Amino acid sequence: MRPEPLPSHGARQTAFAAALLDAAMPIPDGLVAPGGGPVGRRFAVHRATSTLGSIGALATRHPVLERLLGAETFVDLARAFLRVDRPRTALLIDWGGGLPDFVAGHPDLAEWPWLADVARLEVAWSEAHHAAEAAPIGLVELAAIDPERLAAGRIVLHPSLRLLASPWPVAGIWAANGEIETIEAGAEHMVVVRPGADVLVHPTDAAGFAFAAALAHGARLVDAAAGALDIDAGFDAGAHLVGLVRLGAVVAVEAVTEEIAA
Amino acid sequence: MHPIAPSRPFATLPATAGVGFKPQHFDAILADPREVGFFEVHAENYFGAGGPPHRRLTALRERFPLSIHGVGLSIGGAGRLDPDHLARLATLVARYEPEAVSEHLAWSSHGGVGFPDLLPLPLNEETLARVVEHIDETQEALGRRMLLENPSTYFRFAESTIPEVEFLAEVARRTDCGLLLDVANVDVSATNHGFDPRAYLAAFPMEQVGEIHLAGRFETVDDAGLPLFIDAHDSPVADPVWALYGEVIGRIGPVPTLIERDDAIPTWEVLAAEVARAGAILDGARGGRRDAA
Repeated sequence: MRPEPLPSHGARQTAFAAALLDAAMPIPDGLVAPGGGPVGRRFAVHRATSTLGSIGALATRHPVLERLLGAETFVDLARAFLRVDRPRTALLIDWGGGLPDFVAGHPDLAEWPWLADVARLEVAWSEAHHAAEAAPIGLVELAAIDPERLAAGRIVLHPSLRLLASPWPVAGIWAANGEIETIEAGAEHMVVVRPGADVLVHPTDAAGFAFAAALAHGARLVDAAAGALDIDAGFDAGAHLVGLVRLGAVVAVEAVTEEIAA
Repeated sequence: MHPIAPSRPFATLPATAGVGFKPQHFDAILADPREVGFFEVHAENYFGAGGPPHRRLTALRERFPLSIHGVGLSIGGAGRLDPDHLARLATLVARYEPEAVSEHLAWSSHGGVGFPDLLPLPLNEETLARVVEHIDETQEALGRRMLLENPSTYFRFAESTIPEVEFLAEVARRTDCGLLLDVANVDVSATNHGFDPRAYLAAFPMEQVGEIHLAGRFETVDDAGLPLFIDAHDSPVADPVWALYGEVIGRIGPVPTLIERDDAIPTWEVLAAEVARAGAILDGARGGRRDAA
């Protein structure tokens, strides 16, 4: 009888990875402990390291969600999420953005509908935290811009800026680190931005949210203001623009050049 | 032929004691920067574009020599290196110009799934050729030589045919990379496989070593009750590892030495005391072979 051929490295990795992902699978053949002893606990070190590392990355990004759920429930949630959304590479900084949608669709969590938006705020915070640097303009620079040029221009927002809307007061829940007695429905709009070292979570209203969202999509100031006025007839675009500049959320005003047909 | 001239040193860290940087220690470090010879960071923690991580690293880099230590390039995998990961590592290295860049003899992604772990590989002619290719590619992308770290392992592979020290020496010979000698990994693997760590260290190609790592391990047993040490980086360096380290430094002279702590992070004072212990061993060996060379 001929012995089984030894696996090539790629085949070895495929079998090894499959056994890491599914704890119910047998341990791969050909792993050797001293004296030919059992390798169960030895292989289990790697099963645990990968899973705990991934769960740890989610816990680091979602401290408030973890607090709201409790550590044990959070780990159960993270394990369930890992079964449907594995990191594509070992680089965890890029992974886990799907957790809020997973929370939103999780039947066991339907009783607490604000959890998904708390998780979305934490994702936005993390993205802002790691976003590129850019120097915000100040009110003096804003005041120096010719009003007509300003109105027709595009407001370049800070690369860290994220916008979030929720039917729940998630900024308050988040700011209280989950230590909140009762949660009552109440729509909330947030600007998340990191103009300097710190991430800021700033409340706005529905029209201010629409205004900032239009600016973020490259609308001219006049068009963004018109859209906000459709939501709130009393919308004051100048005051909101000053508010964004004060927040450090504006890095430039760009002139819109006429598109030249080719 | 190799793209990187062998005359360029593989690392230019000072032969002092350094430590893995943790953000919670940042203020304490800047308040008293004298205790540490250099800092090391995990490359992947700085793959973001900006923000506080880069602000802190920039401030550290202005004051200290820096080592960038990758934990996710998957040099030991059968597949090709992830071009995006390698490009981001190259961007980071170009941005901070560290005195050392290192990675592991391990794999951490395969078939579109990533594992935040340093997974073991069989050591044979097939994997040797693959690792050499990957290090050539990495050194070309970085425009510099790197250090490859010896692994800590919990079992062997039936298809392994090359002893680990020989494998590492041959990788270094074929690629001109340097080696990062993790003395704690040697002791972990020696315990887990039942070999003599001193024999391993006696055979190790010390002339290729550009940096040493020291870390704590978690001690447990396997299914048969045999000792099983886990490379957990969650405790102080164990006394047997200090003994092995002292012997290595006594033999080869001072080498840049890093205290690694990645879990159960103590206060800065406690960690700095461990750094000072390594520093005292290095000071004791000044005037040894390396300085005379």
